[in-house]
Amino acid sequence: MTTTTAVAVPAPDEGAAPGPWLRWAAAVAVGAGVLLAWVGGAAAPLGALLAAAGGTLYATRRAPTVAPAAETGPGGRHGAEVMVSQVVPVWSRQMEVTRDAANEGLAQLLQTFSDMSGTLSQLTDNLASFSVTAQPGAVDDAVRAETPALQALTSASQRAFEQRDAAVAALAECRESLLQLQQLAKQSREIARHMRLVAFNASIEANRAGGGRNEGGSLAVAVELRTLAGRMAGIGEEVERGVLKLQAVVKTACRDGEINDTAPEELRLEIDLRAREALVALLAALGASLQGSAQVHQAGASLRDQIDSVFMNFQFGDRVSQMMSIVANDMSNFARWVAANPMATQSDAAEWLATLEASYTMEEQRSHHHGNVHVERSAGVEFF
Amino acid sequence: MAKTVMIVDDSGSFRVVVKLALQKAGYETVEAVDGKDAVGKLDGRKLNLIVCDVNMPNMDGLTFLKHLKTTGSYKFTPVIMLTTESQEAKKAEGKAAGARAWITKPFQPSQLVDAVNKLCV
Repeated sequence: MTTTTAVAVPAPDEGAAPGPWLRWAAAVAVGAGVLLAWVGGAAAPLGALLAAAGGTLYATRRAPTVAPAAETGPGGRHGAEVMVSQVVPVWSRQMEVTRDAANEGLAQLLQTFSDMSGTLSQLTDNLASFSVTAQPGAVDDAVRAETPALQALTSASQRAFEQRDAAVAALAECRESLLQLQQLAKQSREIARHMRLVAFNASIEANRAGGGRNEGGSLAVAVELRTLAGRMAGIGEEVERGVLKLQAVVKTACRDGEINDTAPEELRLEIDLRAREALVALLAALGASLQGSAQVHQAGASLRDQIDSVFMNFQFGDRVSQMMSIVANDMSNFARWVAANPMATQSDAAEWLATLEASYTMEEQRSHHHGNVHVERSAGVEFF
Repeated sequence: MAKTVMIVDDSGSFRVVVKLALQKAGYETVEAVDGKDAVGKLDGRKLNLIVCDVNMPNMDGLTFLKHLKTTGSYKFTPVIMLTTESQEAKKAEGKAAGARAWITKPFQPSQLVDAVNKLCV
């Protein structure tokens, strides 16, 4: 894979050129500043400061109205040399501190993402290992396997049905007794009718005897007998009405009991049916749950890919760190060199720049060194 | 038993990235912060492969590679150079020193894992 990054082409030099080392120092400062500003966060203000300082240094040295570069300072050292030897090491140290802070922050971020990725892997692995399958006939198998439990479920109902059957049988016996009662009621009405007849005959016999001594007594007995017969007939009728009512109630209860009668086999089949329905509903719910788990699994896998992409992008931190380290190191070396060679020439600058270029490890550095080329970044694996 | 890969890189963040990619692929890892540290860890332990940066302090990757090839028990351990360095001269030097592959940073974790799977002994 190859990516290309366009790099801005700087304006050609015009007017009075600054000394080569100052030009280099200014360029380094601007470059480092831009780099830090790009990194952002705590490094951004330092980056802006460096960029501004570098730009100012460059502009100052280019302007003919500003003090010339060859001005000699205290102790015979050139002003520019003094500036470089004192300012550049400070920048160098600041860059090192910034690089360390960036490294530390990146390491913490990476560790966090690493932990997240680990947790995610664990989650998706757990979800992947959680699976339930229902083969054809699984419900029948389950019902067969759980027969004792299902029988236990029916036993209570069975007892209730037995009690109901006993009650129906008792009601049937009651019906028989009621029929007997009805017969007795009829007999009592019949007796009452006979008593009335006897009373009537008694009163006739009393009248026929006429004026006898026992006439008054016989008549009184006949009247009393008629009264008793009437009361007995009334009670018989009431008993018969009550018996009829009870017979109707008992008949209805017996009929209902017979209609709702459930055989044990019928009860077992009904329980089987309900158990199957419950199992099917349970499996459907489980299926929906598993589908949800599969979706979570997919989301987890997708998230893991995204975290991989984050790791890929985090590699910029290493490149920034390397570039800053190299620039900081070069700045220190440069400051020392300038201190040792106050009268540097154009060829010294050229030699410095060539050495710098040779020390680069990245295509970006080589390309930015000249500032006018495209960066060809090659990526991928090359097997030997 | 899981195979072991040594990761040699002075960048802590890079070691984390590589470690995570390899551990996810089922490898165990050993880390070294530079060539010198890596030499210290060639202590007889079983290493199935080494992933090594090139530019490192104390001892760079190519020097470590050359040293490795003179170390009896590790001379046949395959080495993948994983580096920002893309100069052909450096690659040629790595190849001559016995590197089996050269991966230029930034890399895709899947590319690294594929290369490790291919070369791991």
